[in-house]
Amino acid sequence: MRPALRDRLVVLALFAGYVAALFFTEPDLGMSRDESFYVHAARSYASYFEAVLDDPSKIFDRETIDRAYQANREHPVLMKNLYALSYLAHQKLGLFPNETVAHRFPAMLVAGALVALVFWVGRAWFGFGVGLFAAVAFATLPRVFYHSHLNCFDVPIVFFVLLTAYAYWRSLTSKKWAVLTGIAYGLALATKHNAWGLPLVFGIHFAWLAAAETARRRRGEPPAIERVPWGIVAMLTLGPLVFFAHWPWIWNDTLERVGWYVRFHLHHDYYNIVYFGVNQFRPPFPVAYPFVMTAFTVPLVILALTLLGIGQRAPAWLPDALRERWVPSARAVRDPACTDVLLFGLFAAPLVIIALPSTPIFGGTKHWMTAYPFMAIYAGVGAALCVEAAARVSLFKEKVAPLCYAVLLAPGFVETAVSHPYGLAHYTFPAGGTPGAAVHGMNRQFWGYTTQQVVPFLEEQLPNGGTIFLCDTTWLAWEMLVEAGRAPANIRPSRSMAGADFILVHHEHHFAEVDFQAWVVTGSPQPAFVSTHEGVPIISVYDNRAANRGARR
Amino acid sequence: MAGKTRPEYPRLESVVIRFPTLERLPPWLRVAVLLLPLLLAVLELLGGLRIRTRIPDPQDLRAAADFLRPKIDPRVRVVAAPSYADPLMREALGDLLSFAQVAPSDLAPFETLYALSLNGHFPAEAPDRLPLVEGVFGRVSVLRWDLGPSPVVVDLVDRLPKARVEWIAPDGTPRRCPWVTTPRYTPGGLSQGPMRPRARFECDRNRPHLYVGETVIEDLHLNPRRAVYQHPPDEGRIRTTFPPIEISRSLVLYAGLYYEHERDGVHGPFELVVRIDGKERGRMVHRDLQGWKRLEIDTSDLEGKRAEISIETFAKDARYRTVGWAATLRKTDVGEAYP
Repeated sequence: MRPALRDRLVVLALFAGYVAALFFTEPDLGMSRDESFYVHAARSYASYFEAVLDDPSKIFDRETIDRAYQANREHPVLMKNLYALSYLAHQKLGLFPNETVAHRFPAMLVAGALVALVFWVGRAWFGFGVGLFAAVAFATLPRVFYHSHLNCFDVPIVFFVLLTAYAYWRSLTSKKWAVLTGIAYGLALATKHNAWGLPLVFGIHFAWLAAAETARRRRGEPPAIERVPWGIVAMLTLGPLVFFAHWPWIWNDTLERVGWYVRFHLHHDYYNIVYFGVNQFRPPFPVAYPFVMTAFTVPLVILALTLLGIGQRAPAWLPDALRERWVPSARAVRDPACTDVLLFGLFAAPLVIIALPSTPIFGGTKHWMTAYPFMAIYAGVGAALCVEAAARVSLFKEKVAPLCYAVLLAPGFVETAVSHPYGLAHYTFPAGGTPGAAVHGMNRQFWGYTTQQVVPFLEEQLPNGGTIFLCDTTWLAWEMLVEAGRAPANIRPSRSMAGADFILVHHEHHFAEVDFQAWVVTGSPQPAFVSTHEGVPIISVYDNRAANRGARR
Repeated sequence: MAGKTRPEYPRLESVVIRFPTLERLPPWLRVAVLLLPLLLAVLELLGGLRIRTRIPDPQDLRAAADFLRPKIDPRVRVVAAPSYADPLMREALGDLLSFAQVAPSDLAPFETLYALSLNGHFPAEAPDRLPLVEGVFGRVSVLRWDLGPSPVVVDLVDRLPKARVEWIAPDGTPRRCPWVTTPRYTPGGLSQGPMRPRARFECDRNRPHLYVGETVIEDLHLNPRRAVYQHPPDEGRIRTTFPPIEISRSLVLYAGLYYEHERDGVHGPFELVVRIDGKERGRMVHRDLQGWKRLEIDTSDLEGKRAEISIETFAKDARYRTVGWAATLRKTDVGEAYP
């Protein structure tokens, strides 16, 4: 088979395989808090599309825009618009099994595209084997797999950052790709604010390569690369235009509304997250946080391969002259694009940004997931070395590679399978698994996404319906469970803990007070049911019916 | 760039650079290093399997709990080890446990500490000595530490319903806070603070936080503390007075604030005064970030006598002063270690 055709088939297989895996595991996953906010937003934005479809002259109508886009204006709307369109398609055509899937499906498509893109970029930089390993390793990171299901922005922004990075790399020798870089960056800006720092990373990279190119030219060597950063120029010109164009909300009062959006994130609230038993709620946050959490949630073998890959590639960061002096044994094919500098920058930057003591850390690993494709590519480099070494000592030199790759990827597959549907609660072997992380006092969940796992108990206890106190799950998230047929309609949320038949307590460290409140309300510290993941409590459910009847206390 | 043609740059599609950084090692060692990830992968698979096979069977936990049930009385403290399993322990035994047993200030009220231990873990509360292993049920063991006779004679939190609660105005005029049993719960949820109990002394119907009642407060370290909630008023003080009780050698009091109102360390202190027969015997000035603070008062001069004990709370700035306190009379001297 021709390599080009083979590569395209792999892209297709990775995309389709990952989307299928997400689609078929999605029903196990209850809706999370943030997803419900974006459901609300998408429904609201859908009203804009409907109005414009009915009357195209309303496309710029301020009243129509403001009514629709007032919701969730703290995030740009590229993905939410896609969720809205998917929701509309579901409303009109009944495309999906339920509305939850309709909202999540565009994000799943992007996640599938992301896995394919990891392959494509890894292949472009280091060859087919590295690319394929990187894609599968990335797809089987437990937390990536969890987030890939959700109608949020955390996986889509990883896709658009990687797309921008690839386009920027191609733009170093092609002006056509420079234009695409600008568009890709605009889409990244339109997805989430993680994109803001990209020009800085690319700027550092470009300064590096320009210095190397200048040095080479001074030595009389022919030009190898453009010294004008057309990709960055396009990012700074086309990017904002795409951002502006995609968001009707900022078409009016642009400066004021964009200013509000920027200020919202520059002065973001600090939420709670526990780290080694200490509830972190204000800066300074622990510098080690992103590194420890990465070590605790990524399979150990992927971490080891990443380090091996970084060690292997590190000499490539050096300018030619220094490399020839310091690492004379390096057999270098000249890389005027300084790809390794770019790769390391994109891998390290998200981790470093989160490591700053002032950066909020409440999102756990999702806030630096943009580093993971590059980590996976490094792991691919490490895996290639490992497989090469295995081939050297094996009697079956040609057959050893698939076996080795399978062994190296197996922990990721196993951990991901075990983690589902408790992706945020799950920790890997370096942490001692989920029980080990619980002993260390690490965060067990956020967003109240685990409520679906106690529905069977509630159904059994409340065959004729009743009320529940939802703790961290939003009412809309519960309504989406009902709409999807994953919870009965006759069990309704209650605003008052005391008025509810059952009280849910999500075991997240700073929710301890809710546990204690439930004791006082029910008159007993005894939960009626405890849902667990790997033996670790995730939700306690208290039966409040007796207290409501006045039988207790 | 007039007159110049744009240079032809190489296509950047497959940049393969090989840096044999391990080349200086002997070949066998280099291969061994490079094969390490394979070994790690196998280790990780086996390790993950081991982690999952060590998860206690819920049946074992239930069997251990059933074994422990007849041994539980008010002088027994039961914990889970590791502490993350506490909800599982309470699911199995919570019907036998009071708030005093699951949210104590210290171990003094107890004569025995039992732990439902998963995989041999010891609880943080355990004395620094080996326990007796009372039973083993799969991966769950029942561990026992004998703590000796409890020094606690009276727990004032238990006696709250018999107390008299007054709001003392700045000029010293007392106003009784009536005992009510009408439910007026807080909504519950994050940042809502301690749950207002059904039965309580209500000092101001219009300011529902001004009540005195038994609740469970989340302390600075997010631990549960069974306590008397006694928020100081904006002006004056709230006083809880217990009818005459036989006094012991010491009075040990703990007081603190609801976690979210203390953790920022920005609010003013509250004060708490302990009087016996009207005479001040102890005073705590509690500043933010001091947590669940202990006050020991020597009452040995009154040992055996009956006297009224009152506890007052007040603050110059009473905002966010969600005070809880717990106090016991003990037959040990001040400073005497227990267990």
